[in-house]
Amino acid sequence: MGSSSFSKAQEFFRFLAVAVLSLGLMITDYNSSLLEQFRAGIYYLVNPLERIAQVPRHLNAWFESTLQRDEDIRLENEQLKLTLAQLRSQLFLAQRFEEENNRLRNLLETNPSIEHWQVIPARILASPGYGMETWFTLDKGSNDGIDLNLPVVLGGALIGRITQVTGHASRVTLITDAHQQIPVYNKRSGVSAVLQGRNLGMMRLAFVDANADVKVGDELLTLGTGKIFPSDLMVARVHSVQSHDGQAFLDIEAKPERTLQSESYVIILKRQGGKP
Amino acid sequence: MNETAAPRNAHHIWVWLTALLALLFNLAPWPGEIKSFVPQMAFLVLAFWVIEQRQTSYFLLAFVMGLLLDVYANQLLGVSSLIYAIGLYWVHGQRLNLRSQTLLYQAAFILLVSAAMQLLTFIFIGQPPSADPWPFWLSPLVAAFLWPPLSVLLNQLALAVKP
Repeated sequence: MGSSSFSKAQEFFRFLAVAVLSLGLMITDYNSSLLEQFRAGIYYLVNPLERIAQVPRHLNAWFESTLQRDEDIRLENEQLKLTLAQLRSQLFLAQRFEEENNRLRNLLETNPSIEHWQVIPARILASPGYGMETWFTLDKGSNDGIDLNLPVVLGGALIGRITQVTGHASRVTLITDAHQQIPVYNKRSGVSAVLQGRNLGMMRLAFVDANADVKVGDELLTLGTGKIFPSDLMVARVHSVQSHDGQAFLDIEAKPERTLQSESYVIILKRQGGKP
Repeated sequence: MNETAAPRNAHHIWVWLTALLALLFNLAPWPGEIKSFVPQMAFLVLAFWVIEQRQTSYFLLAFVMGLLLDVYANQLLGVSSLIYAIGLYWVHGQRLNLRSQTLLYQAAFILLVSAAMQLLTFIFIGQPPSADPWPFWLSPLVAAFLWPPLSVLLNQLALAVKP
């Protein structure tokens, strides 16, 4: 028997070992956060792969840009994009300061101030595919001071948070991801609730009382209670409101204020002087 | 030291390299409407090597590829490893029969295995976010179409690097 050492039983036990190990990982990952460090470790291996996988996209972009413009214009364009991102972040901060001041003056309330948040522009390195993103990868990592859970904004609106970090890159999970939950309040009526991701670019406003004052178009802003996100950051707008007989809560869909289109840069917010 | 160990190791390196290349194919940023059609290329490559090789089943490689895929896609850890292992075990059980069959027969078998794997994916984690559900269910068909050219290509490589 030529392959006696390679018996069916031996192969079955190999398969069984891998299957049991995989099942163990699945059960542990589903029920606890024990594997977060393990996942983060594997991400160190995945990150170079996803960078390589993006090479055709970058080559294509590069090829198009060299065909249409000369190198100087392309470089200038990159520089302008970075400057624009920085100016946007400054404008966004200025607007937030103004709103914060107004709130303090008008309501005599104390809110966690965002003046203690540092803005870090970052370039988008990779995303899973056009039009179906629930995450993307940035070119800033722990070597640039990026930590887990830092909020990421685009055009002054929250779009996600950092969920994995390596030395030179980080992974952002979008607020529309089905596992994301953000405490928010309705800017017009003050009703607070939890905004949950639903994939496909939509969100759901959960646990809003059937009698609550919520209308289509209402702006939803971060509450800032969890210490991850700054307060009063624009997140989404109410897209539809439905009430059903006999149900204690409204069925509310919301759309994020900003979504990734063709942007190359986003802003990471970091609380000055420490972790979020 | 066994004299055949070195060429065999070189052969294994080719297997790992081709599986990694196939994985990159899945990690590429395909447009949203195309991405769901893209089959599990790493699995197809592993299936080829299992059929081609007499003495290796590559369950460990399947496990590693599955883990990388799970971390990349931000999904439940271990789910792709398990599904890859199940698919590969099925292929392994039929490898002697498949080796003597035509590419068309093999493609039909790959269609069956890929469909079963897609069903398991749906059961464990549901469909990936996509506006249309049908591309997800058609990707096994794409896998079957890709099998003959992939098989021919890898066969050339296998002949070139045979220990």
